[in-house]
Amino acid sequence: MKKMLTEKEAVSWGAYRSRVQVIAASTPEDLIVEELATLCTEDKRGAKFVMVRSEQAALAVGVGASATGSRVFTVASAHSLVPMHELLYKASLSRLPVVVVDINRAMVPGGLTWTGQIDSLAHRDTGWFQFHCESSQEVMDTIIQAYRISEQVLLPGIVVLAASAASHAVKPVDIPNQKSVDRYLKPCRLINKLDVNDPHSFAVLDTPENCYESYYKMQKAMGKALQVAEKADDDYGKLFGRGYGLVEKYRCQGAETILVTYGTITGTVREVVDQQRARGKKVGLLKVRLFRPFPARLIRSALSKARKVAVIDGEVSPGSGGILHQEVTSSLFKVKPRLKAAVFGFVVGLSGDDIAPDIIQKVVDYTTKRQEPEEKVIWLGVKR
Amino acid sequence: MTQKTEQSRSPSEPYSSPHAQVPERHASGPNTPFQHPEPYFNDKTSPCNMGCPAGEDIVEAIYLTAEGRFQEAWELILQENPFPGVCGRVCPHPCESECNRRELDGAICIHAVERFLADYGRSIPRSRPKSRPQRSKQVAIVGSGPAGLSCAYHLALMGYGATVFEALPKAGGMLRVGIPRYRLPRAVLDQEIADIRALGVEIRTNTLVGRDITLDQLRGFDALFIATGFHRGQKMDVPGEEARGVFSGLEILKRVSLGEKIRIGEQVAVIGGGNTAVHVARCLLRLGCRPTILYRRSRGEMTAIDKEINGAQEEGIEIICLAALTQILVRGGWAKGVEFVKMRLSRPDESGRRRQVPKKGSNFWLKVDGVVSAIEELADIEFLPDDIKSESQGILVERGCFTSRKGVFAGGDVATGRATVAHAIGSGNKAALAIERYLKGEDFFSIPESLGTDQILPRKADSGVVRFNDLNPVYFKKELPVPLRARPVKTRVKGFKEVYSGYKAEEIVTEAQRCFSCGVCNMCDNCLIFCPCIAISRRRGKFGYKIDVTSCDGCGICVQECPRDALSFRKVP
Amino acid sequence: MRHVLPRSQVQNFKIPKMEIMGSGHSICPGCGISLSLRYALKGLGRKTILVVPACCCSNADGSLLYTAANVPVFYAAYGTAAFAVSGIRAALDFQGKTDVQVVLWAADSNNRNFEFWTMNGADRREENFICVCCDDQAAIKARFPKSDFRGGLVEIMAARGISYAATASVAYPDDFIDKFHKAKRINGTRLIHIHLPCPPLWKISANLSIQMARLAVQTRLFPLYEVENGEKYTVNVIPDRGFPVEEFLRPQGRFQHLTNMQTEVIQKDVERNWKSLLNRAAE
Ligand SMILES: Cc1cc2nc3c(=O)[nH]c(=O)nc-3n(C[C@H](O)[C@H](O)[C@H](O)COP(=O)(O)OP(=O)(O)OC[C@H]3O[C@@H](n4cnc5c(N)ncnc54)[C@H](O)[C@@H]3O)c2cc1C
Ligand code: SF4
Ligand code: SF4
Ligand code: SF4
Repeated sequence: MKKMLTEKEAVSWGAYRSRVQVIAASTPEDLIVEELATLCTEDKRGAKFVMVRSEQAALAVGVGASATGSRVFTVASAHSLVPMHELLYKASLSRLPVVVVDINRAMVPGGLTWTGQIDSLAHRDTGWFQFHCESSQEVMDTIIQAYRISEQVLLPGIVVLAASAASHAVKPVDIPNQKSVDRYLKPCRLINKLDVNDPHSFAVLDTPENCYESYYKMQKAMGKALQVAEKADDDYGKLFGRGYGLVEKYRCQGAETILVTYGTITGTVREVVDQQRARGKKVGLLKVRLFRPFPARLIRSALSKARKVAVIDGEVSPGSGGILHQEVTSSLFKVKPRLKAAVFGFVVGLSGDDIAPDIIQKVVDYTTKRQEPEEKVIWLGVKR
Repeated sequence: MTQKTEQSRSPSEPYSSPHAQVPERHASGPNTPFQHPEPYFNDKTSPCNMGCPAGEDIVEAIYLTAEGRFQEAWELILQENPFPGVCGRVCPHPCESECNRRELDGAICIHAVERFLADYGRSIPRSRPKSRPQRSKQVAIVGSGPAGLSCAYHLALMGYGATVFEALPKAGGMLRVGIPRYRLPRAVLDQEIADIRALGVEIRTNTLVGRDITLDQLRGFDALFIATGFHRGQKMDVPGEEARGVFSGLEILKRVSLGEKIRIGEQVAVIGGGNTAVHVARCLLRLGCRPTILYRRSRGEMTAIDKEINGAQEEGIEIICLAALTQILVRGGWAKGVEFVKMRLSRPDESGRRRQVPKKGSNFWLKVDGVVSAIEELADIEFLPDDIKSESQGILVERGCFTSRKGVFAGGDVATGRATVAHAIGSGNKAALAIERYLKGEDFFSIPESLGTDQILPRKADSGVVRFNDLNPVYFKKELPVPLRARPVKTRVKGFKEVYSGYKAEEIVTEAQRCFSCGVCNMCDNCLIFCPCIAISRRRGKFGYKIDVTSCDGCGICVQECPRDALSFRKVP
Repeated sequence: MRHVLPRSQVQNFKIPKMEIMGSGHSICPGCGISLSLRYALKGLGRKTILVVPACCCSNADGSLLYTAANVPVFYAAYGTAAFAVSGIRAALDFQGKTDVQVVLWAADSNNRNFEFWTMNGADRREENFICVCCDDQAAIKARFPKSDFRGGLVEIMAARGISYAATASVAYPDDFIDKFHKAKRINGTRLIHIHLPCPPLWKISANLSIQMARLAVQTRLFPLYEVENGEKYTVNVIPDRGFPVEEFLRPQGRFQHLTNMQTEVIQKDVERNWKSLLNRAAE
């Protein structure tokens, strides 16, 4: 079923098709929740909506509901993961399969308007897996996949969609039918939950050695999540004819320079790569869709043939550099077989500054002209 | 596409998330790493138990009564005391003087409970304590007072043969011939003696040892117990004592008790301040006389039971204290008047005691038709051979009952000095225990001194006595005891009907439920309810609780909140 | 088996024998938390889920790996307990488990302030849960405690008209359990304010904690009462005689600094409160 949907509506449909049971939200996400409520009311599903006044509260509701064994859906928008920070740990250390859709915005003083990814990137160490999506269609599909992964590895997940200028624009989205989704995504069944017939404690004050162990187990689960996510995407592709891969190699065949990026910038980069290829330049694109767990092995193999790698970051970790850049270099560093490629780290369009194709063009130009990057962080289009 | 989640691992596998935990009771082992004192259930001695000379387990009996388990309670008392019906009526109940409840709102009416139980016991089909298998050894007992009979009773229960020699035509000692019927109906006494007889105890009445049978003739017995009491009246040492119309108090009581006729005038002076004097006066009143009690010491020094003195006064008997008899006026061989001198208390001497000294010129006369000498009786022990040491106050004993001759024991008033029925019973019990060990071949020195605890049944209670301060008073609210119910004076002086009446079962249960159960756990559950560690649990199907010391954190709340001090703390080594 | 108690024993506690909570928690000796939890569960039954914010109670349930409560316990993050309650409630309602009670169990009075606003919101949402505040009166430890003794919590919530608000004391287990039993059968936001003896804070020896809790009631410092629908006041325990507050204050190390005059002021305050409580109950 194809429908013309805004991004927010696509999110609602993703959650709706996933048969979410408890929806916790604070008031700003009214559009998504409203649509979801309409959908749920139409077919009398009777999902429970809990509206609270802060994001922290919303996730607290979500965590509670999830611990009780329900499939929970929470929306965070306008860097609202930040107030949820403590709760993120609560969920992951309690190994609760909560899925949060994050309509991401930049962290800027005094405003919530501009696009950015820092909200979710800043929470990369909380033990949540993170998908960064490029389009409404992808968001909707990823939500469904995320529930499956989350419930299999018992880790909470964030599905990120950077709020773009086009986020209110209406685009065609292919909505899978409920029956097939039900075949793909089985009901959530937790063995350990708040169940009066089988009492357990959740998130208790624990000894350091036990907490240490939990982190170790979380790391292991993240490892497993990689395989599970790969399989989830494969299966999704087989069923619905749409797969995305954990990373997407776009025209990387024989590419000498590969641009690596994520999220909504990808669209623009894709355009530029097409232009370059049309001119016979050997330029390719590697889109990182899964940011946590970081698919280092896939990235290494995708970049193995390239001579130059340009990582395009929309966010920076001040004092270090582009966030994706760090991740990519560390996954290439000192791991056999050693890559000979030079890795360039670009920061572009931070805090919602427009990322036009000519900026990406500059990335390509800079990279082709030099053998090695002149500085660790290359800021483009910045007012100095 | 099955979704095998990580949570589906079996619980025995090493845990992946410590935050979702396996519930387990008592699982965490020792609660606190440091050693703390440990509570334990420790029943202690209640003051009433301590106060009972006959060694009754009062707390337990009251407990059973409170539960309505009258027969069990009665049988429990019978384990120590063959005379609950008697004691419930005549005992001055030292147990009640000790009772902790006095400090709050009045002692438990223990004697009322005892009396009720005995009456209840008489009303149901008899079920007697089972005696142990018969043994060949025989014991002779001289005197069928409470001491002699309770010793015989316990020996019979132990399986020994017991033969009691009694000078009088009827058994019972002072119970029979001293204590009047209005205080102790004979039916009660007869029944309890009959119960003792039914155990195989032989009572040979009309057999005065020393006259009808010599002590040497009793050598065939394996042991001998002497409990002859105080039965010899004392001389008053005043002119005119030999006149007609002057009686011995004991004589009067004996004759009244045995139903003989007495001829004595209307106005009678009863000389003395003991039980005999009081009872003689009250008996004479009932026979139509007008008795006056005259006592040379002060009212507080009267040795008679207080309640009885009060009873006498209620009945209108005049008691003149601090009046010493100087002579009896004799006319025509009959006593016609008595002269007294008033006494006063001297200044305290070096020892601080104040003696009575005659007040010069305070002599006065009373016109009387008869005089009763009711001054205290003495022991009549002339029949004893020299090797059984004695003095004027009675037979000399060691460790409560051993005389100077091997195999001869003594108890009751004659050995312990003038006391009460309950003391006599306790003394008989003690003698029975000692005799048993003697008959088993133990010698004097191997018999522990602690045999003197007057109890037949061993108790596990801690010997510490629980006082009111040891209780937790917040758990008790005021509730007055059942009132004594005496027959109105007008009707009671017309005959020998019992003065005090008994209680209904409900009243007795209510009264028994007032008992604090000092020092003895009654499963009130307080400790269990208030233990913050849930370390205390009921023992399944059994009485009492157990403490899981590994869960206990030594807070001490249980010890503190036990209303009756039945828990104690001990240091863990 | 013995089972008759002295009639005169004032507290012939009639409390359910069923023991839900097990031993093995790691609460300080003499603390009232575990007793409260135990009594509460006796009133609530097994179909109960506890939500505990970070507070003294964070280890009430067991020593680390084990649960002593024997009902599910969820430890909520700072200031989010009431939200976790809403989430759990929503999930249970969705699952049709409407007979399961969700209880917010907050201990120590620091938390009482901290969680209060979240509860406030829950009450606005007309959330269906029982909020328990175990109040160790930590706030009044050092200062002159005149007005701090007033049990404001019940009053505030009663003024907002919640369906049930009551106070309870561990020294009165039967009343305590009754209240939980009653609360369980009522819908809507319910509040139970528990007076909690805390030996280290009060500076008393552990064995006296029940005694002190009892004295708090007997001196009328902490009256036991309940308010239904913000209107119907019932005083549950009327102490036999007016114990002077001294009896409660004197044994506690934390009140050693009080002067006689200050004690008198407290006494007057207590009497005033008591009177006004009785008036409200009489209305
Ligand atoms: C008038 C009176 C009233 C009393 N009232 C009370 C009371 O209300 N409550 C209370 O607790 N106590 C009372 N007492 C005290 C109590 O009766 C005695 O302490 C108790 O009876 C002593 O018991 P016993 O067995 O030692 O001696 P007794 O009861 O005196 O019995 C001794 C028995 O031995 C017999 N006997 C003596 N010599 C010989 C012999 N040679 N051969 C054979 N038999 C012999 C006697 O005839 C007697 O039957 C009272 C005493 C008197 C005198
Ligand atoms: S209260 Fe009961 S146990 Fe305590 S002394 Fe009195 S009768 Fe004995
Ligand atoms: S109340 Fe419980 S924890 Fe405290 S001392 Fe007694 S048994 Fe131990
Ligand atoms: S508190 Fe009650 S149950 Fe516990 S020991 Fe004392 S009397 Fe027995």
